[in-house]
Amino acid sequence: METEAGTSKEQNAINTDTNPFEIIEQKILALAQARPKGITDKDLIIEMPELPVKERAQIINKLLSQGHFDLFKQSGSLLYRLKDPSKAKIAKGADNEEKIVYSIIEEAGNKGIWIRDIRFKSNLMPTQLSKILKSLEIKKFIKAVKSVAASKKKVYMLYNLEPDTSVTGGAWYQDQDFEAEFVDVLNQQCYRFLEKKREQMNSCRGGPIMARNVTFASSKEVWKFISDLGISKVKLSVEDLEMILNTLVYDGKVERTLSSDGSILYRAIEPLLDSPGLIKSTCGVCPVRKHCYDIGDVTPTKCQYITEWLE
Amino acid sequence: MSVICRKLCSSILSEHFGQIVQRVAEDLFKHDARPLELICCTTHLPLTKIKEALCVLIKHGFVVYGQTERGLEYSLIHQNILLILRYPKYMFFVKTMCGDESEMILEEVLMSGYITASEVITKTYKKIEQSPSGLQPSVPVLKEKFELLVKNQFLTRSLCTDTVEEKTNEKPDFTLPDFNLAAVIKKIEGDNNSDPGDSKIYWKVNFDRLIQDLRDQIIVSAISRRLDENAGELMRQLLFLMYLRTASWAHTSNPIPLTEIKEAVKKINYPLLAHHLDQYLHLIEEDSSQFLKRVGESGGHFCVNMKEAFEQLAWATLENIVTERFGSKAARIFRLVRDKKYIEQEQIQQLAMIPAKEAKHLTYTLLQENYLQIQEIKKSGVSAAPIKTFFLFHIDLNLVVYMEVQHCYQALYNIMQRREYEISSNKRMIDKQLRMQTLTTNLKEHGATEEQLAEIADLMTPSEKQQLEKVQNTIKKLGITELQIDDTLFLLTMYLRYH
Amino acid sequence: MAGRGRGRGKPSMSISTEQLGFAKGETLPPPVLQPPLKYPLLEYKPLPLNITTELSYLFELKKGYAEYMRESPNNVLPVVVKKDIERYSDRYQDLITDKSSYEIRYDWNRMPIELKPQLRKRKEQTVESPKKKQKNIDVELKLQELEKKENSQQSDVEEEEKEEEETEEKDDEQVEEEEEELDEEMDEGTDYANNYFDNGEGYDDEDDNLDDGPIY
Repeated sequence: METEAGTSKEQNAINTDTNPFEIIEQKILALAQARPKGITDKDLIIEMPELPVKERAQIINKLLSQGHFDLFKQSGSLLYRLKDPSKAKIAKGADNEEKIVYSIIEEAGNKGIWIRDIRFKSNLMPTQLSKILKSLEIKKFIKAVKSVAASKKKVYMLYNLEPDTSVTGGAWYQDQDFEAEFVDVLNQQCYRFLEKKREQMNSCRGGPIMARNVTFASSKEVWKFISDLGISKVKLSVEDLEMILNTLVYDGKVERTLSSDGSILYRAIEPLLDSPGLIKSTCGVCPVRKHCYDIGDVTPTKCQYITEWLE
Repeated sequence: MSVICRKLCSSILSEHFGQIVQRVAEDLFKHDARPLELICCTTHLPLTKIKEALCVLIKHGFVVYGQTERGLEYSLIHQNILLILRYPKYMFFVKTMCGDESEMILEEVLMSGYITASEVITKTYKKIEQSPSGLQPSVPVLKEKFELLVKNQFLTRSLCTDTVEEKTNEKPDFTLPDFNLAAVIKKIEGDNNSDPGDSKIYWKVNFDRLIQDLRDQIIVSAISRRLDENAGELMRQLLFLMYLRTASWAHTSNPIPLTEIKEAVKKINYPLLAHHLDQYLHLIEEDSSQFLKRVGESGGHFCVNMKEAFEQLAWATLENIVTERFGSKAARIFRLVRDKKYIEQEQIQQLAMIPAKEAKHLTYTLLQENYLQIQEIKKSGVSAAPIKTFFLFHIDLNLVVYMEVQHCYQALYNIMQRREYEISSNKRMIDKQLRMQTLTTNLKEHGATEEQLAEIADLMTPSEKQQLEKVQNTIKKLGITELQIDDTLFLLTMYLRYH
Repeated sequence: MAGRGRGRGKPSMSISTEQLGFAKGETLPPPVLQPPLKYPLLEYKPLPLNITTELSYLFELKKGYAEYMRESPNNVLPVVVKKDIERYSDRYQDLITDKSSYEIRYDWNRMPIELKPQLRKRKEQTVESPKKKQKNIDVELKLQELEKKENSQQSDVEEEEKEEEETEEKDDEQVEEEEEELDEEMDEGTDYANNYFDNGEGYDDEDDNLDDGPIY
């Protein structure tokens, strides 16, 4: 960030009178406007593939230096976001402390920031801080959002921002509550689908490899099946469904493979082993095993679990 | 060695050899190698009894001795005691491979520790004579079966190598036995002066071979489960080809050429396998279990990867245990941590898609029970910022396997204790039934009438009979459970052997 | 009860309710007032045991083997000691059940000689490999030594017995080099008297003697 800012001055000189650059500038600004969450270099590459890297950097640097953009770092890549026009407003009607708090919250982006962290960064007294926050909230500069992570703590962010999925939890949350049952149902339905596919292999006559290949399903296929079932109130994305499919992988029921064309394939598998003999005995699942000795209250001869199990 | 392992071994010895042998072994457990006099000091047993017990222990391969500057010292090989748990499985395996007579021969050898060929054949002959199995005893057949056992390396010469220093460089000897067949027959007919000519040539069970066979069974059945019967059979053939070119217990086999695999598969009656051999090889190789590796530039060679196979099998076992002990959600977390190697709590709940509170509870339960370990990583951020600490969950496989091995020991010990208790608290009834049985057989031999026999049967009241049946079922259930727990113990021990 | 006695002031651990997963203000679970059950209800039951014919057969093998071993001489039984009455016949009993029982069951070529029920001295000559001889001699010497000590401490042994043994030992010292090969069958009878005395008398004293036996 600093280096880019450093080089921007000399490059500005070159850029000022070149027309095509201005068109590109407008394009980028329009793009940023369409995406209030911000745009990344990747987005720019996709939207304007013909733009050379060097020139792109020059333009971005120019826009940054002109104060059009705020620069954020999000999950390892840089994010350019159009400066909030409301900031101008706050500059007028607020005192210094409010400005500081506002800029701290602004910096946190759509992931929000906890009150404690604001306090640390601003060095304000708790009572004073909460007063400021309340005032900013009333003026609709900022808002408080309950985060699904870390036991529903409130985080603050700018009023016009759409909270990040890490705050809302995405499709799996309703009013900050994780919809465990919904996830479980989807988990079961996905498995049912893959299991059915596996059954098809019994009627496959084209040799073992072909038989195995009929068991594969891409995430898109599963997604379509689930969408057609109509069990979801919210619209799920393929990525959402991949999350569900991955839970099946962690359940040991499904295997994930990358196909040659880069799409992810899933298939139901049989476990390598039958359930181990150890857990067919009460001692295999005993919760008080650590208190079990030859003498005392818990002993193999007195054991109630064994007695019950022998009945 | 852990306390629970010691207690288990002790319990096994007591069941088979009685209190005195158990106490002598217990003493060796506690003190490692020691001379006769010291055993006498601590056990307070009569010297002759200690000597006799040591003889039993040496003959069955549980104790070895060696000359030291302190005199002749005895030490225990506790792993061999644990093998007793698996004797029935060895016998059964030999039965399926070499037939009923072979099984009986093996059983006799197991009962004796080591024994001469002529003697074991004589004993087996007599046993068949007395058994209602319908087998016809025949010395030539038994000799043949004995040789079959040697050819399959289930039996090996027992050389005079019970001393510690000689044990290490012992090479198994599978030279076929040589004895006078006619003399054995004469001996069976009652001529005690007949000499079969193989005195002092002893045979013992080659456990190493049988352990490998049971190990291979696990591999074959895992592949059968994962893919199908054809793939399982292919795996069996691959293991067979592995033996031809690889030292026992090598981590991976030496490369097996495709042509040889083809040859081997042709000889067995698996038409579908023969037809799709390349595809089946491909499937086993591609499977996530990774039992098989393709090697060489031409890709025409395959290696069986035993070490990797048992790592996969150990994981599968642990995952199953976690599922049954803590539920499927806990198992999901366990597999997730396995997959990610190191992972933070927050990620666990996100990826496992389990509500935060439940995910935390399950993760900490697994942590508390040592299925998960935690690692603290301190990361200092930008200069003045406070040091941030990350807590990462991970799994130490060896540690968890070791823990479950101990768990198996304890479960085995407990179930054995309980079985012993059930027997002793119903001893009177069991004894009564035994006496009645002997009486009935005796009377039958003397041509007793149906009435007389019925009279004896009536000595036990219906409620007694009911009670007896219940006790017998209890003992059977406990006994079978021991066999099952031992399966888990065996698999995990195999993992530890390779890792 | 953890934490008791650390007493006043700050608690040593500073885990807030929030860290335990409770939001501020959320009702905490009521305090546990009962002691935990000795056998809490099983949340997860063991999997059902499916008794197949194979397992039943394996169980029969297991049972059969254990029963055979327990009934066999491999089960070393304690000596029934009836000290107060019929001492003489007891000794005689021991002799039959004890001595004769296990000695003939082993091939003493491949067992430590010191484990023989009683060291029997005879002039059997078989040439063994030198290495082996060396080893056995050591054992022999050790035991000789031990026996001497044992005997010298035996206070209640009759004079006659002692003399007899001493003469025997002298004998032994001359022949010990040739003693590895011992033929069981030929043993019977010859050393009858010696065995008789040692077996009967030795039992109770052995422990005490060995306590002050050779020091290593």
